[in-house]
Amino acid sequence: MYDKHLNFQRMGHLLVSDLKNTWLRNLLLISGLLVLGVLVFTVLVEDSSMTRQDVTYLADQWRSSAKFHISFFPAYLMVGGLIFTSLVFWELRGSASRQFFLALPATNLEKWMSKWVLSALLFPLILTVVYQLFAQYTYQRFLGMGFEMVHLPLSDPWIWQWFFMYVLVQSIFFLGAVWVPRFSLIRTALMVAGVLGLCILIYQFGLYTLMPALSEEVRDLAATATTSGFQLCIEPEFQSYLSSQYPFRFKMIFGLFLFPMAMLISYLKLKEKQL
Amino acid sequence: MINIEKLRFGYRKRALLFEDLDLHLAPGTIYGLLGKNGAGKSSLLNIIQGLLFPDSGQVNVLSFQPKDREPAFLQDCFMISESMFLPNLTVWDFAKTYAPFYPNFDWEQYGQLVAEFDLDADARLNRISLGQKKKALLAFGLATNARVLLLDEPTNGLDIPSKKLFRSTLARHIREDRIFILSTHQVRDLQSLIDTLIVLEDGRIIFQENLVDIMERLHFGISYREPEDPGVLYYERVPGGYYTIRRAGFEDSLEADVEILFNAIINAPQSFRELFNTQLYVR
Repeated sequence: MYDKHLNFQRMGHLLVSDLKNTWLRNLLLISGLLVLGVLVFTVLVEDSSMTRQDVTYLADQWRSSAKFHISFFPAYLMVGGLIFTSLVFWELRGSASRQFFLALPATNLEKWMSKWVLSALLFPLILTVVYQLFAQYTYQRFLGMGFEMVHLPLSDPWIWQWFFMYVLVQSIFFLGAVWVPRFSLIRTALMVAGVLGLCILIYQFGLYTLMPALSEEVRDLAATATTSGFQLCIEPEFQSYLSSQYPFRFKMIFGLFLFPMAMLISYLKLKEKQL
Repeated sequence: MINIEKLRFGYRKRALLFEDLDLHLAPGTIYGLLGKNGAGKSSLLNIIQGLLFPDSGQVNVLSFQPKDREPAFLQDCFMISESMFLPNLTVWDFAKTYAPFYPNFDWEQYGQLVAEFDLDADARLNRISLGQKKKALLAFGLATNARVLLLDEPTNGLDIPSKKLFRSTLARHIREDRIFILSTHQVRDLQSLIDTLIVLEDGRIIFQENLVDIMERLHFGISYREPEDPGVLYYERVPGGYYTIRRAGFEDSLEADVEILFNAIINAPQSFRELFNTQLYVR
C-alpha cells in the first residue's frame, strides 16, 4: 500500500529525469542571478561617482551589519526561487509534454512531491550555497577597498529564517504553477496581489470602520483618530502598528492556514490534470 | 483486458463526444481503430491511458481504473501519440533516464530494435526527423513490454521502407497477453497488420469485426462496369473500374480493402447491420 502511493526510488528517478531535462535552464537562471548580484553590488558600492568618504561610510555600515547581504539575499532567494517554481511544471505547458509527464509510471503524489522537493528545497539550497560565492566576491572587493566585511555564513540564522519564509511563500506560487502552468509567475503574482489587496481592503476599511473596537491594539489608536477608516489607516501610529504586526501575522497566516491549504490544493490539482 | 461500458465523455458538457460507448477488447489482438476526423479516436486512446477522465461509465483496463494513473497500470500501458514530446536527450540517454520507470524494460530488446530501426544511439531526439522519433519511441515502447500498446497515427512521417519495417516489427511483438491498438487514417499502411477492425462514428463503436470473419461474410471484387446487381452492398469507383463489396458466396475474392470497407460502413451502415449482427448505428 505504501509503495502504491509513495516510492522513494521512483521519486529519485523523477528528480533525475527532471534535472537532466532542465539543467541548462537552471544553470542560466543561477548564473543570471549571480550576474545581477554583481551588477547591483557594482552600481551600489563601486559606483565611480562615489567618493572615498561615502565608501567608508557605507562600508562601516556593512561591516557591522552585513547590510548589503541582509537586503540582497532575501530578494535573490525569493526572485530566483519563485522564477524556478513558476517553471517547475514545465511539462504541463504543452499537450505533448503534458501527456508524457502524466503517463510516466509514478503516482501523482510522487510527481507532486518530486517537483516540490526540487523547487522548495533543492533549488533554493543550491541558490543559497551559490550565494556564498557571491558573498566571497563582495568580501574580496571590500578587502580591496581596505575594509573587512562581515561574512554572511551558511550557518547564519538570517539565511535559514528567510529560507523558511521562502518555503511558505513558495507554496502559493507552487499552487499557481500547477493551476496555471503558462505565465505562472505573473498570473500567480497578480492573483496574490489581488487577494491580498482585497483582504487588506476588507480588514482595514470594512472591519475597522464598522467595528473599530474589535481589536484591543487599535482601539486606542481609533479613539485618537478621526472616525474615518481611511484616516485611521494613514495615521503614523497605525502605520507603525501595522508594520510591527503584519510580518508576524503574515507568518502565522501562512504557517497555520495558507501553506497546508496551498499544498493540498496543488496536489489535488495535479491529480485531476488531464490533457 | 479492456472493458468500456456506457462511456460518456465530452470536452464540453453539452457536446458529448462519446455517448454510452461500449468496447470490449481481448488480448493477443492487433486492433485497427478507424474513424473520421473528430470522431474521437485519439480521445478514446487517451481515456484508455488515463489522460482524459470519463464523465460517466466504466473504463477498466488490465483490471485498473485508468484515471487513477497507478504506476503498475502505466508501466503496462504505453502510448505513442501523434504529437510526441521527446526531451533533449540522446536515443540512448532517453532510455537510460526513463527505463527505470518500467520494471519489465528489456535492454537487449531495445538495443536490437535501435539497430534494426537504424537509429543512431547518440543522436539527440529533438534533432532527428519525425520518422526517426517515431521509431525511437516505438523501440522504447516495445522494450517496456507493456501489455497494452496504443499507437496514434503510427505511420505518419515514416518512409516506405520504414512502414514495412514497422509492420513486421509490430507483428513480431504481438503476444497472447498483449493488445495493440492502432488508430489511423492511413489504413492501407496497416491493413495487413490488423486483426480486428473497429469503427468509431457519432460517439459510438458502430462496427467491430475480425478481418477473418469479414472475409468469410463478404466478397471483395472489381467490376469493370457500374454494378446494378442488388446483391452489391457497396461499390466505389477506383482506377480501372468499380471496387465492389457483396455478400460472400462468390469465388476469387480479392484481399479486403479496409479503406473502402470503412467507407462502406460509414456510408451504407444498414447494408452491414444484419449481415454482421452488430449494433451498427444507423442514422
